[in-house]
Amino acid sequence: MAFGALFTAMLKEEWRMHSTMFGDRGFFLFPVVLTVFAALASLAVPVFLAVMPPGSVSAAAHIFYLIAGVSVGSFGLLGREVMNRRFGQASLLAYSSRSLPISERTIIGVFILKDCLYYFVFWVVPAVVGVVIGSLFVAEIPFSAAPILLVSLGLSFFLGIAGAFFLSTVYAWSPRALAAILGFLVIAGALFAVSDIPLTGAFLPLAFYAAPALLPAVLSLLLIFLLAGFSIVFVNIDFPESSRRYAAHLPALARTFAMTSAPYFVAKDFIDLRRSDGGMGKIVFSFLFPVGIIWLLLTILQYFIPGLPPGIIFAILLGIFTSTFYNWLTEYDLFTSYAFLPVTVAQVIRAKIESYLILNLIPVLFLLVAIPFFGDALLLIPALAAFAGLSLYAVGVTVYLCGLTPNVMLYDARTFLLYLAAIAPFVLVLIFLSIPSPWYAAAGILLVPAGLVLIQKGGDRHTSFDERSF
Amino acid sequence: MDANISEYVIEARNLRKEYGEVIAVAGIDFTIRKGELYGLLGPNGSGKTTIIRLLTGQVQPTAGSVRVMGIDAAADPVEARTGIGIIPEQETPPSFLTGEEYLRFVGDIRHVEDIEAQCDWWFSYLDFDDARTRLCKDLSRGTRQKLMFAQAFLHRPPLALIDEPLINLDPVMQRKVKDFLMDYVTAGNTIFLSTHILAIAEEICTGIAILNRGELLFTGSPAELRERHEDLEGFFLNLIGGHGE
Ligand SMILES: Nc1ncnc2c1ncn2[C@@H]1O[C@H](COP(=O)(O)OP(=O)(O)OP(=O)(O)O)[C@@H](O)[C@H]1O
Ligand SMILES: [Mg+2]
Repeated sequence: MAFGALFTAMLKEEWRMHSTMFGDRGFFLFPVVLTVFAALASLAVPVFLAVMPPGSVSAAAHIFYLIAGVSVGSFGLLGREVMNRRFGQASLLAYSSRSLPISERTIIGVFILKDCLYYFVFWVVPAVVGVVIGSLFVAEIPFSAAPILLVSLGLSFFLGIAGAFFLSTVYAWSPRALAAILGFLVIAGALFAVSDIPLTGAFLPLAFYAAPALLPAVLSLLLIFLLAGFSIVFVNIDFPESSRRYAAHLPALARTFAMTSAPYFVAKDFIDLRRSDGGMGKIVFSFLFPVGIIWLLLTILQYFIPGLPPGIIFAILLGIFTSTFYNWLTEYDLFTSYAFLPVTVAQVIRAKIESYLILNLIPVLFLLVAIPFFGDALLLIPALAAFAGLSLYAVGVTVYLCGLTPNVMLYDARTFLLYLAAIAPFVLVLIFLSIPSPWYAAAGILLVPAGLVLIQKGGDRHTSFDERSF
Repeated sequence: MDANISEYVIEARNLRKEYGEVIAVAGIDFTIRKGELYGLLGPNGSGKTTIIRLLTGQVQPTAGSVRVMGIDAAADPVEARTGIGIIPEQETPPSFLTGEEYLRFVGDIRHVEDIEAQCDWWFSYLDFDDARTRLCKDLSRGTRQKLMFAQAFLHRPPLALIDEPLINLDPVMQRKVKDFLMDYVTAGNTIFLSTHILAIAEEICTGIAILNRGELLFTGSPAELRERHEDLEGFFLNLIGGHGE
């Protein structure tokens, strides 16, 4: 009974959430922008086709939608926490099994279906409309490409969503199993990269686009149903209840972090990350998406600017994305919880930065694997230098501008522009430096002291402000 | 050093705080001696919380000065907060720590030597052992208030400033907390508390101040009022009513 009603209610909820966040105008602007962008990209297709190997434009588009699907899926799950703080827990239908007689399985099933339909209409359809417009002017795009794209992009997108739900379900049961699956995917990806199987041979929705036939479409659907079905059947109903009890883990964890300036604060940061929805997994998840985008950008850019050293560019951009870890670290407390204790904003910021440095081990490990993969393993040295410089500098700019509330950047256009203005020049300079020789990017290490100074100054600056209460 | 030693644990001189147009505290003078249990009374928005935040260096005064235990709270807020205990108006222990972890956390910041014994004592004294292993975000309001209460006294501060300590507590707990506060000042410490509950002030306070629109209308003691055959509630309503518009 509840199925249809729940489905429409969830659609409305998603709608309400987006129009609240972006305002009605921003909300309707998005599909329009997407259409325009897709139309312009279609007009550029002849240029792409001239410099890139055949099939790479469509491959990029499909991979983009796969990644977009993963991000929508993981946002639906991991972003619940952020949404909770803004809209209040009880208001979210995803939690209604607590208060209504609806099973968690029904909810997750409807949730996946809702995500697929909602974003298909707002993300996939506008892009295809853009391609249709483009096809009017560009001979290389036959009009018949549109209906095929609608199916193949849709399938890529759904595959991403189902994949995200699948991985998070696995994670809920066993983080180790997730690690194993991710490890398997990485190895399989590496083997695939060195083999000469074309992407159309492995990526079913793309196979359908390349040669429309029943088989790849049915196989894609089957895979999607399999992944989504697994998430629905094995949904982890044991979500943390308020009755859940925890041993006092803090003192022991603080001893582990004894080398930091404030072990109890650092230990608290990691406890917050672990005990909040999604656990440590959300850090890895939120990280995979930008990394995927960077990789995609690089593969395309390489064709246009042949001199670019991909590993170095990867490291530079990775440094910027890593600085968003700081947003996670400040997500779970406000300074008002410390204001009555003998600590300053500067001390709290310093501890958060130490937690941040520890979290930087994740991208560093990533680079250790990725750089040799791009070719010359020795380039690890300039890559790590550029990464370290940008990671610290970008987080320094964040701290300087926003103190302990970096999320204001998402709402305050002025702050965001200042952030971009402070970071973009250095990114561009390092990229240009790396064209004559990738080793020049090692100059990025000079940004480390700049970052440290900014962190120091930011701490003082935000300490002397009267504490506003939020 | 000697010049700093004063007979007062709290000294406010011409203390003033403006928030933009709003004058929260209108330039007031008051002093509090060691060993007092001092109650700050006043209607909603009269400036009680602002005064406590000024005394603990959480906001900077617009004008005037404030010394707490001889320390200038505006110039050296961290130093001022080190020696005292504070219960803020809004109790917000961090969400994802358990009750015990929270006390351990504060114990670390305040360098409490016997923190484990202190934890045991507080969880049993305020009868909320259940909160030890549960996350703060899942605790009831009253339980969170107990936690904030314990947090303020872990290091046995000679002075504690408390904003509305009893509001969510049941009658049994109110009795315990009142007894605790009275014993605490008898032992030679000082308490400064703000409250709306006049009966509590009348029962336990040795001195009171009545505040309205950021101005002090009365300072004295419940005993003084009793001598004048006035009960605190009638006196308060009269005083505030007379100044309303
Ligand atoms: N951060 C702030 N920004 C602007 N105005 C403020 C701020 N804090 C307090 N005020 C104003 O200062 C005045 C005094 O507020 P305060 O919180 O000190 O009152 P209070 O006596 O504690 O009230 P209550 O009994 O309701 O707790 C009020 O008019 C309030 O609106
Ligand atoms: Mg108040």
